[in-house]
Amino acid sequence: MTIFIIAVLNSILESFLPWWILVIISFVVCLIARLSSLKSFFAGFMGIFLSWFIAILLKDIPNHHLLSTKLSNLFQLKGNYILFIIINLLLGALLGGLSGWCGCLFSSTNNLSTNSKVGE
Amino acid sequence: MNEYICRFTLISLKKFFLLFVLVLIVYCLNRNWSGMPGLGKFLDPYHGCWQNAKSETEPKVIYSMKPLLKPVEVRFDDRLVPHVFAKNSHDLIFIQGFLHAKFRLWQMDMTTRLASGRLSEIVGSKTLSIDREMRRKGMVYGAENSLKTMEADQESKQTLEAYCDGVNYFIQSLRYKSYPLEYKLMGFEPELWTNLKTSLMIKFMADKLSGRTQDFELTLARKILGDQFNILYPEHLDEEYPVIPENDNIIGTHSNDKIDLKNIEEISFKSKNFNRVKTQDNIKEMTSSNNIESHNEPKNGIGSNNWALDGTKTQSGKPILCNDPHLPLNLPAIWYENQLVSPDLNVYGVSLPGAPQVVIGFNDSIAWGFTNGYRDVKDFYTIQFKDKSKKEYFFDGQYLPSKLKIESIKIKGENDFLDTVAYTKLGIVMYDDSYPKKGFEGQNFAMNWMAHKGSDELKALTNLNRSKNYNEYINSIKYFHCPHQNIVFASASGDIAMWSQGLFANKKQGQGRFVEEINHTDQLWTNMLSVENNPHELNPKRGFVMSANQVNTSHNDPIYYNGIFSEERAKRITNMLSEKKKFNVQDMMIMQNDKYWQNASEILPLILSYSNLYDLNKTSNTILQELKTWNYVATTESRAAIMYDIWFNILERKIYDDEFGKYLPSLNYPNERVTLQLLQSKNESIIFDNILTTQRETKANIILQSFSEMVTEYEKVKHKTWYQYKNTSAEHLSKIPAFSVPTIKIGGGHGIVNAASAKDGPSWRMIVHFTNPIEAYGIYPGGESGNIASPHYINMIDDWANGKYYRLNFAHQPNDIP
Repeated sequence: MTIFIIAVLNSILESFLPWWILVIISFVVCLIARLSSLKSFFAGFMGIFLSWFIAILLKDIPNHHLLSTKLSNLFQLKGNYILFIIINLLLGALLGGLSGWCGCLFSSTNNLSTNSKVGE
Repeated sequence: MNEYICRFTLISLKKFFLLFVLVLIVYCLNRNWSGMPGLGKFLDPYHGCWQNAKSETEPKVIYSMKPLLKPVEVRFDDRLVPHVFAKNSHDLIFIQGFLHAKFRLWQMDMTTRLASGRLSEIVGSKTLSIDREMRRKGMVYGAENSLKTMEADQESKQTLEAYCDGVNYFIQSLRYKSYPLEYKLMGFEPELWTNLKTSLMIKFMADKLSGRTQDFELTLARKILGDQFNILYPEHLDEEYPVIPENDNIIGTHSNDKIDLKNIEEISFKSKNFNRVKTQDNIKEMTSSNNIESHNEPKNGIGSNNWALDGTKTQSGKPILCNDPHLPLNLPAIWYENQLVSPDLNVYGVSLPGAPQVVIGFNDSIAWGFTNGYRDVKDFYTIQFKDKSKKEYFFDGQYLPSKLKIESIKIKGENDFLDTVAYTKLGIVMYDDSYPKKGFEGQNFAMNWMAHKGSDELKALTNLNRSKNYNEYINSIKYFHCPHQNIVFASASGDIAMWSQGLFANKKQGQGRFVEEINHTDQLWTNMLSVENNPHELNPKRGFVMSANQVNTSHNDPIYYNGIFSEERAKRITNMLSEKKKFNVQDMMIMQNDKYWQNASEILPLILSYSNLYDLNKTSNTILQELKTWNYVATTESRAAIMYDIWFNILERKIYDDEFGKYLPSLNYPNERVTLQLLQSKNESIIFDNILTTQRETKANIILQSFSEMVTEYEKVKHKTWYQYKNTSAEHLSKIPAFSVPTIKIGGGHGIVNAASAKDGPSWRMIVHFTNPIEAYGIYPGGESGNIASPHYINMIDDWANGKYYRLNFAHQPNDIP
């Protein structure tokens, strides 16, 4: 569920706000969602992955991979546009994941209670 | 409890550290690094590079933005060529500017930045030397002077403004998301267009076409070659095919154009006048040794072909005009194809993104095209400053104050570079102690260049676009002052003509050929030749006019000029057009794609005639047989073309390198046809002797040596065919290989009619046949869109390489475009 909230929110907000809004979205959603660290990371990762994946496909398919093929050459990927898209998606997704994790750490009660339980 | 606090601190440390790392990553991904865009910003699918993967336009658009007086309808055909239908000329030019920007903004921006010496501002210090050169050449100075001239003309001013408004309307509509990809990649922003930028665009072409001069080279060559100088750099070649041939310079009878007789008489008189001054004395003076003229072609020089046939030479009985200007094969292409229609105008052709109007094209009544004239319009003088401050220089018997201009060159990420350039009566001091000329260190040189003078080439184009007949054509091109162009003409009414057009100084014999030491104003360009008297011909008896960067007039021309001319393509085209046959459009297409290597056809038999002396093994025998059976056609698959090319290059090195010695980097070899003359000559020239050895080498020795060296060198590239070897490529202006097209499969080459060399080639092939309706064909290596993600970015390159053409949609109303 968190994944979809992040994906939808990001798809709406990023279309008119700067790209780094994805960090804030992922952070805030995970802050509120109170998931475990791992789940938060996964939610941020997959949320942004989905949001970017759809946005890229909507551009790349009608363009018949003209842009992605040239850019893959630019980034020394020898015309492998799929690899280029994967790397592009990983960049967004990893940032989303990190932000989600970070958001979950700042969700203090969650963290403290979990950790203190472990400590006992 | 302590443990709890400790753990609490650790966790907050951990989370703050992670937050810090996160913010740092975002910061790093958002900013530009040297030569790299911020990757986060660039790869963001919502604003970054992916936004450039867009469909560019609908096929039918009606523009009705506020600055337009009336709505403008634009139809884009299947190649994305816009056919613009406007109700008045303001709207027409506004939309042309808008479309140039829409499809080619980054190219326009970069070209004018390059021309004005402002590349370092966005690229960094690696382009500083280019910027300095452009500033010291006075590109902006020339552009400002021409802008003054253009703005003094009401119509030119309105055209400039409408164009500028159109470009800016587009620029103002942009946000980061919609920037052309190159801006995102290089990390800078488009800036508003100005009339000065349009003027700079025109000067950029003037520099490309008239900027090269041999003053320094020839001065050096004369110094080191002594007696041999006149043989290697003769005033005229033995065999020439002038643009305006002497015996054909006859004003033929005018056909149906309505022009007043007075004008014809005037032209005829001038023509007679030209003949009259050719007295015996003049001829004698011409052939004397101090009248020396250059016909050297730079190894990678750019050339062009144009010709027109009158009705007597065509199957249809109607004129045909052809033009293929050879220019750098960059991407986005140098040309943008468009049709402009308003109530009093219907013109089709190619325009220069960055400048209004059609440059090469046709309308209902006439067609025109250009080749470079190559007359020398740039002279250098030594200049003596009183001291290092360059504030005063000695001229006209006294010290005169120079005007010092401080060029402030912005460099990305560094402090501005300040360069002081002196402006004097002799011209701009391009070379001085802070910017020395290689091989001439310690001296100051002022440059006098026609492109510095204010002129209104835009008016020439505006008038040409709507010309209806020969008279209107000559009234248009008289405004074309620089660069010097051979402007071919044909009309629906049956006339063909050629004008070798430009503004020229009336030079004394030999003036401006070498770097000169002058002391007085009267040694400068004191008076100009009247542009109306420039060499020209109308409806010559031979039934065609043609130019291919050859010498403009015969050696009997009493007017002195020098330049960088080449004869081989002119010879080939003249031979083809002189055939006793009637031509059709297909013949013209074959001619523009002709791959016959004229120089090889004359040089190779000469050097092969020594083959009985060769010491042959199996390899060299195969090579020899292949060369002997070659038909001199440089096809894509030819191997003999590679062998010949290598052989001739080695031959040149063997003949000239020993004499040129340390001056080599600054000196180009003599014209290939001078080498041909030396090889043809029965006399054994001492130039063949290698001065570095004790024995005396002969022509035969040199040819034998070069043959065996060629065999060795050829072995290294024997897996290649001609097109792979010469490697014609279309390079993106950013030089990014991913956006460029390498190794295009095209034959021909330098010095061949189909002049596709490594970086230059036929930048627009056009054929206009004046049937009713007009039958016109064209193609250029590139595509209408400058967007690398567009299907119209390089869509024409393969067809161009294969010699195919597109039938041009010369519409009269929007619905003519399917």
